[in-house]
Amino acid sequence: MTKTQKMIFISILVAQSLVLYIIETMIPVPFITPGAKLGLANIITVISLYSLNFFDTFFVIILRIILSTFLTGSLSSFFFSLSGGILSLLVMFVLKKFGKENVSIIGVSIMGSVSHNIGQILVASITVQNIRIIAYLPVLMIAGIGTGIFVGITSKFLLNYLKKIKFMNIN
Amino acid sequence: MKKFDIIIILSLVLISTTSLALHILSSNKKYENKYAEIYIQGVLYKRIPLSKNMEEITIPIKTKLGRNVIHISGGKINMADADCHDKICVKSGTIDKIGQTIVCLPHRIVIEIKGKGKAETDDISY
Repeated sequence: MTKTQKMIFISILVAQSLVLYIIETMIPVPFITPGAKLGLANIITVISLYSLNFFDTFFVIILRIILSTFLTGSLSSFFFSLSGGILSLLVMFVLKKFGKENVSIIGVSIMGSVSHNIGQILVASITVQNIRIIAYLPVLMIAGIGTGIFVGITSKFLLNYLKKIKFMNIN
Repeated sequence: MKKFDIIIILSLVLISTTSLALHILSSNKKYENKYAEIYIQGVLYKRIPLSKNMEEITIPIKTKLGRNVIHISGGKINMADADCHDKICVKSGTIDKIGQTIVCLPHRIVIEIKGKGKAETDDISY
């Protein structure tokens, strides 16, 4: 992949994740617990983790979070997204690196969703200075397993198509 | 699906269901009296005793972050209104069990129900 190809691929990913983020706010989600949502933008994080290196993926996430804050959120949601995004990236990266052949894209994305929830809950309990918010975590984790499986399967199908592009090296 | 995927799913389901069960068990304990605590930015703002035959109260809260209206009737609490953008606290519905919380993250408000009495130690409050 040349430098220009990479730059354009990153910007396409960021644009796609923003669109998914906006579409996600339009889909009504049954209100299970505060903060539960589909996490469609995680598809892009998983895709870039499998097609780019760590720092480019980090770049994609940071850009998405900054731009989505401009589009919809307030400053407080910026920090929640940031903590969730970075923690889930780290966990997915480590799992993918050390799991190697034993772990598939589905397992990686499940851990991504769940650790995203954990990161957000931690920052939330710090901002309101009340540790008891962690009581929401079990329900969020179960929801995260479900959305993680969904995101993983979607990314798997998407990667099959990306593999056909000549300059892509999917690992 | 590979070996680690199954392990990940199973262990996560196990962790979340056991902690959920523990939480539900602890909130079902019988206490002599219940009270609600309202925290604003981590500071205790009000402590309200809860009982089934109490009067209806509406507590408006106005901070520099925004406005919330808490409504209490018959020992049940709900967030009647808020001017935050996501309205998650309003959608949280009504709470009446010990250990339950309503959180308004953008306005840094936490309402939680605690119990006191009979049960030997007050393990809910810390």
